[in-house]
Formats: sequence, structure tokens, C-alpha cells
Amino acid sequence: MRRAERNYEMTTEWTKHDWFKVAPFALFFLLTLIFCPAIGSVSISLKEAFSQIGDVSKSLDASVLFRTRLPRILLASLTGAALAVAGAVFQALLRNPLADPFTLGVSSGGAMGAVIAIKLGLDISLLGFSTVPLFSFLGAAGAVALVYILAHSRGRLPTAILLLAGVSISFFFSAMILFAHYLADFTESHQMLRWLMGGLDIIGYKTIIKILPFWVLGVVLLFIKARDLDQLSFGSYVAWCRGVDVARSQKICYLAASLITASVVSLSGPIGFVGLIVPHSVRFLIGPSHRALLPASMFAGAGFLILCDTVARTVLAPTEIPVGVLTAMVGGPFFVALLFREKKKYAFEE
Amino acid sequence: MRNEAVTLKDLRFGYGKREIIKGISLSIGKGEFVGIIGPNGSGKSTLIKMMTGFVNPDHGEVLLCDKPLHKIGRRKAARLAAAVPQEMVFHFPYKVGEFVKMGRHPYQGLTETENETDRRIVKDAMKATNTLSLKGRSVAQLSGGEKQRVVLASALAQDTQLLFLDEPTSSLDIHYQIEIYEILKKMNEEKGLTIAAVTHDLNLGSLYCDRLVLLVGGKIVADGPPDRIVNPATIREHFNVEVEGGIRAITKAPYVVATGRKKL
Repeated sequence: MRRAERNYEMTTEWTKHDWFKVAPFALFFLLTLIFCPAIGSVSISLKEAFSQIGDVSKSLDASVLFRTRLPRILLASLTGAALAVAGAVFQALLRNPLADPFTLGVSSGGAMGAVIAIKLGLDISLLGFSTVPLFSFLGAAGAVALVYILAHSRGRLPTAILLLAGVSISFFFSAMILFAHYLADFTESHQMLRWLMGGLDIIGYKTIIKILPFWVLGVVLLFIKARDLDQLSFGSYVAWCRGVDVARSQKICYLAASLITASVVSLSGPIGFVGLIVPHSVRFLIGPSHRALLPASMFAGAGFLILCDTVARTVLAPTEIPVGVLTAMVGGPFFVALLFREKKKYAFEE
Repeated sequence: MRNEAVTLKDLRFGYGKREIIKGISLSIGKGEFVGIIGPNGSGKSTLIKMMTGFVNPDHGEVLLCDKPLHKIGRRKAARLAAAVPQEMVFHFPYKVGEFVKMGRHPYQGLTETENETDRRIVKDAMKATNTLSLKGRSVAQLSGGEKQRVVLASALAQDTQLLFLDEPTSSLDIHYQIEIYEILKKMNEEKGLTIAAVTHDLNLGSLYCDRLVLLVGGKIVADGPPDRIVNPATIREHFNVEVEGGIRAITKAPYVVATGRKKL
């Protein structure tokens, strides 16, 4: 008893803890941010590149670094961070450790939008978005809205219904994608397939900056709701009794997580497994409390995808592996290992 | 000003055409320890969830401390009443200490962290439920008895005047059943905590509660001190079984034992 009480006294405040927990992941992200731009199929000198920062077009090194690699690394950071944060949120919201940002059909909606845009060969732009990202974003938003309308009941989003609605919508969109694919000619088909594999080879800062407002809005909202997510993971009744406005929090978290997912998927396609592996690993390392888990996942996801992309663009150089294929190849075995570890727990239930 | 903790006014609730709660009015005074009993499907759990505001009545009104529940903000309401759910499933490995601390949720703002008061209350709650030694364990790996005490600790950490429980002891052995009820009784007597607990265990209810409310088919059919409810005639009539009963030698609390299917 005495010792237990002493142990108790030793726990300090949460915030202090949270910073300590998040710091290593921030460091990991910074390291990838510093070292990965230097790595690539063309070897460049950073010194040379930075000396020409004023006029990038004068030097090859500067041009490769600032026009090709940095935007790509920026997109990888935003995408990895968004997918990891959204994954952690969906896992809490659905109270299912195996959920990910794509479980509820956001990516199939996005993919359908993109595939339709490719098939119709449209050339429309709105607010500066080019056709494929625009359609992808709209498709994803459509899927989110549909799932929401199907699932909400008396203001709340019951987990089981949300999951069923999401999976149904996801299947429906997948069927539409197959249909569009069937109608497509060879070039379109290749374009579609390439999009579905997920990649970060979009050049230029302009497009990336356009998704930034959505990204920032979503991430900030989710960070604000971190404490509510802890409570929601215990079930909506417990959350309610502890003072969480369940309907409001569920809505905000679902929409914000979907928003950041849709915004990055519209540029980089459905890059799988990041949203599953990263929150899981982070939770394993620092525990499930969302106030630390969300920022730590954000950094870990960004760093992880930068690393994956660096491998994807160098290992078979000059050929690139689509980064989505690479994350899936890493993620598949990880998922199996996870199932294997959890399997025993489920064997004697039901 | 009446001294009522919970007032229910003609509550009705149903799913579609199936009515579950068919007009319930009830007052629970401050400091009372009320047991809600009744056959399966009589609406006990729904009634408790209406008292917490989680289930909205189709008709009628719930008042906590004379204020309409729907007019009390959610966080404020959570500082007034806490609840222990029927069964708690943990999907993520929070530490026990972390989980109990989260009972302080309604007192903490966005940027606030725990203060001295939070720490003291959490510690008291863990002491009262004898869970301090579990502090560093994962909630996902607790036994049934440990888990129920931890959940109770987190509800006590909410530091409320009211506590609602839904079958808090249904999966526990007799040792833990008694332990949970002893903790509740102590909180009730020492701190004046008002308690409403759904229970299937008539004899446990009759031993610890001041008052029992018998719910059948969504209506209150009997309400009073344990000896008026836990007696062979009443239980036989409403639970459709043959029962024997009497008064316990030491505690003087009434008891009943089922002896067979009801004979006509």
C-alpha cells in the first residue's frame, strides 16, 4: 500500500509528459527532413544548391533540390502526417484498432472522382485546383457526406452503423471504379492505375499550398478534440457521462479526419497502411492518450512517408516504385504480425 | 425548495411502436441509496440512461437537483452526476491511473492540466476503491473484479453528488459483490452521495439499499423499503417464480430464494 502511494506521487503532470513523449518523434521527422533531400538518383551537393538559392534555374543542384525534391518531401510530410493522425482518430472513433483513414470510404470516393475525371478527359479547374485533384476531392467529400447521412441517428454516429455504412459506400465506389476502368482505353487505364497506386510525384508548391488550409483546419480541430477522443474510445455512454457532448465531438472528429484525408488523397492518391501502421507503432511506444498520440503520430507519419518515398525513388533508380506500393509492401507484413499478436486475445471471445 | 436529487416526471420512451418506458414518475431524495430491480426487459437500463440524459425521453422530463437535465450543460451535468456502465470494454491499453484521472474530464478546460485538487480527489477515489496498487497496469488486462473497481474509482473521481450504476456487480464473485456495495454504502453514508443502482441481485439490494423500486413492463409496480419489496408474495407475483424468503439472522435484511417455476 505504502509503495503504491509513493508510485502515485511520482506521476507528474500530463503536459510535461506529453512533450517528452512527442519530442523523439519530432526529432525523427526533422532528421528525415534534413537528410532525405540529399539522397536521390542524381547526387547533388547541398552546399552548391543553397548557394544558388536566389536563382534556382542557374544550377542543376539547386533546381533538383528546390524544384523536384523539396516539394515532394513537403507533400510526403503533409500526406504521411494527415494519414497517421486520421488513422489514430478513426481507430478511437470506431473503437477499433484495425480501422484506418480509408475504412469509411474516403479513399474510394476520392479514387472514383479521379477515375471519372481521367475517363472523361475533363479540363476544369476551380480555385486553382486542376481537374483530377478537384474531382478526387469532391468524390471523397461526397463519400463522407453519404456515409454521414446514412449513419447518423438522433445526432450521434453509432460505431457499428458508421462502419457498416462506410464499408457499403466503399464497395459501391469500388464497383464504379472498376466500371470506369473497364470503359477506359489503354492510356486512360494506365493513368487510372497509376493514380490508384498512390504517388508523390506532383511537382510544384502551388498545388500543395492549396490543400494547406484544409489540412491545418482539420489537424487543429482534431488536436483540440484530443481529450474527447480518449473518452469516446471508452464508448459514447461513458464519454457522455463524463461531460463530452458526444454528438458534437463525433461529428467534428469524423468530418475533420475525413477532411485531412480527402485533401491529401486528392494529391497523392490512396497511400495505404500509413494510417494503420503509424498510429499503432506510436501507441505501442508512448501509450494511447490522444494528447500525445496525435502530435506524435503526425511527426512519425510525416517522417515515415518521407523515408518510404526516398526508398521508392532511389532503390530501383532511375525507375521509381509508386510509394503506395512500397508502403503496402511494408504494411502488409506488419498488419499480419499485428493480427498474429492479437489473434490469441480474440480466440476465446464470443 | 424540495430536497430532491432526481425527479422523473411521467417519462415515456420507445423504439418505434414498442414502448419500453410507459409513464414513470419517481423522486429520489438527496442522500438516498435506491435500488432499481425488475425482470429482464422491464426497462431498468433505459431508465438509468434517461437519468444520465444519454437517452432522451419521448415524453416527460428529468430533473437533477430540481433543474431540468436538458437545460444543464453537459460538462456541468457531469459534475453533478456520474455513472458506471453495465459493461466496459477497453480497446486501447490506457494505464489504470490515467483512466481514473480521466474522470476529472468535466473539470478541465482545453489547456488546463491537473491541479492539486484533481490529484487529491483521484487519489482518494483510488484509495476508497483499493485500486492504488493497480495504477501502472493496463486497463485492458484487468480481471472482472479489478476492472469494476477501477471504473467505480473513475466515477468517484468525478466528485459528484449523484451516482448511477447499471448492474455494477453482475459479473463479480460474492467477495467483489460485497466489496463494491460496501464502498457504495460508505460513500453514501459518509459523503451523502445519492445512489441509484440497477441490480438483478435482490438480496444484495435488500441488504444495502434504503429503498427499492420494482419495475415491470416499463412501469413502477412497487416502491418502498426492502422488506416491502423483497418478500415471497411480491417477488412471486412479478418474477413468475416460486420463492421462499425470510429475514436474515444477523443483518435483519429480508431475503428471497427461488425454488422453482411458478405453479398456477
